[in-house]
Amino acid sequence: MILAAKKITLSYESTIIVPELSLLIESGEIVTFIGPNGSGKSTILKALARYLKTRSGVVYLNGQDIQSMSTKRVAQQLAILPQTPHAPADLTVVELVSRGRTPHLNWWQRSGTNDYEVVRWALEQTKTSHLADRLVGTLSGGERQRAWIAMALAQSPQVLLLDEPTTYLDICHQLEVMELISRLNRELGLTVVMVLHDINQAARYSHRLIALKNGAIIRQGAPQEILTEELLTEVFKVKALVKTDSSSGCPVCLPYGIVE
Amino acid sequence: MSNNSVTTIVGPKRRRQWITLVVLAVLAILAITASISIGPVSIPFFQVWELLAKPPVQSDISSQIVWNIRLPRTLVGCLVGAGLAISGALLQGVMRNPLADPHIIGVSSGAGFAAVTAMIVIPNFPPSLVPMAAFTGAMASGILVYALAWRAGVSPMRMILSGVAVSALMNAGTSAVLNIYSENVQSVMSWLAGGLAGRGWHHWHQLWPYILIAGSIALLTGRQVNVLLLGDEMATGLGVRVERVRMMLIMLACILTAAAVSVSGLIGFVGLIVPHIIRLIAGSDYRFLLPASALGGATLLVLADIAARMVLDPIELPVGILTACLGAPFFLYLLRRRTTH
Repeated sequence: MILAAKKITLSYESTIIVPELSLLIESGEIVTFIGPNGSGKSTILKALARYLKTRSGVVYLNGQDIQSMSTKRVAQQLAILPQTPHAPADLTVVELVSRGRTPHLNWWQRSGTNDYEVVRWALEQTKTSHLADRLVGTLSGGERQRAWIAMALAQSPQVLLLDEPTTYLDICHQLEVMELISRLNRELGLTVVMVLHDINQAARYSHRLIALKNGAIIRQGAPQEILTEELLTEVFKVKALVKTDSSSGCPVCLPYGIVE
Repeated sequence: MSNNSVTTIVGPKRRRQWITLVVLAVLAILAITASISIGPVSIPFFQVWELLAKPPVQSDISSQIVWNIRLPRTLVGCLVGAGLAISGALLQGVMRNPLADPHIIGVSSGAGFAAVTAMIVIPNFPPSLVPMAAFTGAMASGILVYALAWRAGVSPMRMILSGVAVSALMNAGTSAVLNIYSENVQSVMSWLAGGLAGRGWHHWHQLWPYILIAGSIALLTGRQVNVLLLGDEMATGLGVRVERVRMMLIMLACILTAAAVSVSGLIGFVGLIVPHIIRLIAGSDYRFLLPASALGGATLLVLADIAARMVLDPIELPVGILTACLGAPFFLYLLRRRTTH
């Protein structure tokens, strides 16, 4: 396993959001957290990325306590894309992607040939080479998300954490981003842990779903196994039909009412 | 894409940055020369460097003026301008706020309060120790703001708000002292307005260690600031120890501002506007923005000082008025040109 949480308790100030949660992420998996607002999905992701310190419990990255590692060492193995990252108005895509090399450089070093190679590779992987000299602020939502993913790839991570990567995108760009993530996982063996709101997309593109409610794992497993009408009622308080999409074999859900 | 296409794409921007740096350096040298050349005793432009090329000559009045009066004053101006501009650029980056400047984090007003109190309230306070008092006040005020903003880390917004609050408090203190001891405020007022009149080698000696050391360290932090601009979470993700880097950068900004205002008095505007001017000309990459701001700040302050001496000759205006008069129109021109594109 590449990433693990052992009995982590997470809180903002004194409010406990996630009590004693444990989970394992295997190398090469796509794992998606689903759950209602306030269920602790993003909070857990922040803790897995060592941005949020655990109140108790330990997060392990490749078997090492993530808080005991230098933040730079972590950044060489794990990349995170927050929900709303900032970019200065005059930042070009290639400059943004180059920022991904930060954890591989010491403060006195300048980017070398190898770094430019990695940046070029990351641009190609995300099909953003033609956008390299565009300003990040002028890109469409989908292009921008691909540019940020390119930056994360330039970190050469083993694990990529994504917080709602498709929010604010139209349906075509959503699929484009999901297809990209899925391809990176297939071709590069990149482990992906993400938070998604769209349950059907989560089911379609993940190896494993983790359903959360009030900071606790209600169920986890392959989408075909756990995505049931009962689960949706329990976790999201909705009535929904769950069918199997015959072309992909993935479950699809169709919510039609609220549980009183 | 060809093999080195990434470098060629970065190329044009890089070139623009280097050209800007070279132009600013030339401007700085011209401003320094002009500042030494212009005055009640006019010294021809080219003679300035002749006189500087050899040690001061006791019998030559021009040499004496250049070496003992105009050169130190000009160099102090360079350091003050560079210090304030670097400090402003750092703070704007750390706070991710375009309005952040050395005044907003309470450093200048702390310097003002301490200096005014020392000059007026304490009887027979030696004038040579005023910079020391101002520096102490500035640092204390900066640390106070940082401590007040601390709550399991310092968020930029809390830092700005507590800076505004502490500034208001310090300024109120200054006003109170000025009103209570209203009979001998004349010398204090000119200090508060800021200026380089009468600044000499002993000011230079007080100033250069701080500006040179803190400034040099600051110039090496460009990449860190660049990453901080992407947000705290992203910066952490990229392996930057956000809290520690932020504290270090704020400390550097405090030291630079404290050193600058302790010698020159309160000079506004340079720290706020110079980094913005540089950004509008050649972008916000901090590896470039910091050295360019230093050159720009030095140039603007030296030019403003020349104007301060000339405009109402023989009366000297406070240089802060001139930095605003010169900087603001240029800044607005750039801003308009930018938005009409």
